[in-house]
Amino acid sequence: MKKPWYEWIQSIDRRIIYLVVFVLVSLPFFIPIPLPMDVSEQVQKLYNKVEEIAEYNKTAKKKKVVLFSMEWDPAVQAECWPQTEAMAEHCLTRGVPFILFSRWRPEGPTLAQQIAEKRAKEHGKKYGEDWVNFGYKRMDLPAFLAFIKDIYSQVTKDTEGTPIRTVPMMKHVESIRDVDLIFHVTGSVGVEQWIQYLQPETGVDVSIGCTAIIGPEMYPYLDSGQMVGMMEGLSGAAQYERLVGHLEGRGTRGMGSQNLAHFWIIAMMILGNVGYVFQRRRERLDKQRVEMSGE
Amino acid sequence: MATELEAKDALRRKVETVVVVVISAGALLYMLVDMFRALANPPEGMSGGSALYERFIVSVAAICTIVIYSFLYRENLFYRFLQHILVGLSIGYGTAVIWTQLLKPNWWDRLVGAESLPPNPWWILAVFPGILWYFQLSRKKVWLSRILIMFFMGTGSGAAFMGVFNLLLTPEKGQIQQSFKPFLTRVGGAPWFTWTNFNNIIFVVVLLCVLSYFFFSFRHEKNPILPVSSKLGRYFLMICFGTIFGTTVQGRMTLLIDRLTFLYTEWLKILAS
Amino acid sequence: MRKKLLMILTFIGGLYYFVYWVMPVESRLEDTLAYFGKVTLVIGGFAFLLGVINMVRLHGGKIVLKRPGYHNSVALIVAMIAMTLAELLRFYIKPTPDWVSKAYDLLFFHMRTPIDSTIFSLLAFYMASAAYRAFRIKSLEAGIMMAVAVIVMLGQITVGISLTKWIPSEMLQLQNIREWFMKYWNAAAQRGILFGAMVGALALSMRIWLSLERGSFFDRQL
Repeated sequence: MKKPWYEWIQSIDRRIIYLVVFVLVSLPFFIPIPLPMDVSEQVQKLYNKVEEIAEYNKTAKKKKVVLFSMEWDPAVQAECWPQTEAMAEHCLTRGVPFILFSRWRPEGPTLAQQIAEKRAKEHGKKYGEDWVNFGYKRMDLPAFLAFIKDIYSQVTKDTEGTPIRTVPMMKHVESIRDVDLIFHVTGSVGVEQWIQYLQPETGVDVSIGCTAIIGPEMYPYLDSGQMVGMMEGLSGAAQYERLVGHLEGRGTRGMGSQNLAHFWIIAMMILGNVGYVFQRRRERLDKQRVEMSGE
Repeated sequence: MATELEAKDALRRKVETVVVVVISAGALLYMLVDMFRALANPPEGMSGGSALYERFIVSVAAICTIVIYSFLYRENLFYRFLQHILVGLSIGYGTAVIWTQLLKPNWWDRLVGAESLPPNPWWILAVFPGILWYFQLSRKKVWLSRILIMFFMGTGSGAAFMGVFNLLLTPEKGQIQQSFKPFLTRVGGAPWFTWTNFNNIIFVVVLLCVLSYFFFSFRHEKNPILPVSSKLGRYFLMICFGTIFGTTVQGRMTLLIDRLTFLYTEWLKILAS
Repeated sequence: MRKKLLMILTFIGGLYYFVYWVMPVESRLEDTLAYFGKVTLVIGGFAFLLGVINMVRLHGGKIVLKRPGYHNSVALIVAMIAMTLAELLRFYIKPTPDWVSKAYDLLFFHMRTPIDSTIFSLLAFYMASAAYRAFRIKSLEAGIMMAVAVIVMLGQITVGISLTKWIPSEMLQLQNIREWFMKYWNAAAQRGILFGAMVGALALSMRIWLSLERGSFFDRQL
């Protein structure tokens, strides 16, 4: 017996759905969709904070630095890589020294090193003067609290094995209070600990670059002011790239594919529900008919 | 009927085999051509051998990507093989990094006096509690490993006090303080009701309704307010879950976009990187 | 006796932080932070071989007994050894020889990274399939969730934003409606969930610290 249309549209083979996803995500690579991103409030606030540091550093003898807390791994590099790249681009072009660091993810600083090297090469910036990589320094809570009290008690060398105090840019950093912004990039955990343990003690501003999945969880911290800004997912990275003028970044390039993929998901949701509604209607009518014929 | 199904099945398996062979042969052929092209015309500043190796490892990454995507059609032995390799690589990397980044600088160098640190033989004592972890592998003596587990659980729970109170009650910025939002704004001495105040009311109402939804200390039915507020709380939670779903779609699609970017720009080179 | 020992150790572990939190200066525990941190870090770090031992036991057994699929176990063990060696050689031999860099490059950047990322990217396809098969508006709650999800999705893409760009009132444009939902409705609900989770964490921490917790792990015979 031939399936009614409302059952047919609810039973499309999943492999066809996968194929359409693949085609729709691939299409904008070849046919770009050139629509600009509007910049959201939290991305703008983050940008403004870094600009504030850059303006201060123009005249200050002792520069303020940004600490990139790289708690991401290859599984989430799709979103975290463009976020790190956009922030590194901003810091390098505006003369804001930054530190790469991780407490939980050994891969984070390794991948961030590639990003920083590439951006630094384009702008003629030098390792040790414009940025430094502390690497992965596994710290559980007491070690982290000790790190907050005195950075040098927990970090003695950078990833190259150079004693940290001899790195030129570290002359600006006597303690964690000389870090003016924590930029925590992650796919899951960790930003709460900066807020719980560092901020009450030192008042250092905390910001986040996170995967879109955990973005909604960060809004309470943005609302309370415990976080100054956020890059949420690929769109956050694309917005930041627009602000820093890095339009060939991965964030901007990926937004075209996001458009078509989102429309397909919405279409699938509508399709499934249209079929469901009509199926329920048919079942209700059939039930009524049976009840009436029974009477 | 049964023979018809068997015939369809056999045809499907033949088609699958042909497709797999064509794709594999195509990928392999492209890989070889790409590698020999790199060897013949290496980029500036690179030797032929280095260029060949670079194209080889990019092809390896691309083939790994394609094999993982074959899982979308059906689970297969190539996918399972790569899955095991991933587990092996992850464990190997994690183990080596814990030695080089944790134990060596914090324990071994202090014990033997390496890397300009003075030797301190007392660090050998750390081995004894450290070894307790491995009693998890013994059925009879597993309680010895519990010593460490319970100690770390104790430290974790003690730390939770500090963390929770700092998060919720930090002066000015604490989550609790920031939940008290103004419902009226003073403009030139007189109270005004602005759009911000309207949003603040929404915020406080949603927060209280959601909190009441999770309130289980007494029965809701006997209370005049809780049944309504907790039902509203459920609807507001659905708004929250809707936003999570919306952002999750973006997050998941980004993962796919990244892999396709790699295939088109770095492997196939049909787009500029 | 054993249970009492575990209770005492649990209490001492938690007491350190509790006393540090309430009397950081008077207790002079601030001075011990760095040292306590190093010691707990090192002791925790000694567990690093547990994963390796378990893997070797499990997969080694499969290889020795030649169980079906044992070639996968061989690949796992070989990959584990190769990655460990590559990382250790890269760390210890300075300057890093070319062959070690190349091996590390292959194993970490061109095998582990792409396989890991690709496995996660499969979720994009499952997302589409789940939205089609499972997302059914069977109740008001589901309807609310779907409506908000659609608004959030359209408000975060460039084409979606341009659909309502023509509306003169900025408040009615999709990206601003999305922001409104995220900043107020979502933030408040998330804060409510956060309060619940934090209070729960506090209660559970208290129970663990004072060894009041019951359950399979805590009640088992020692």
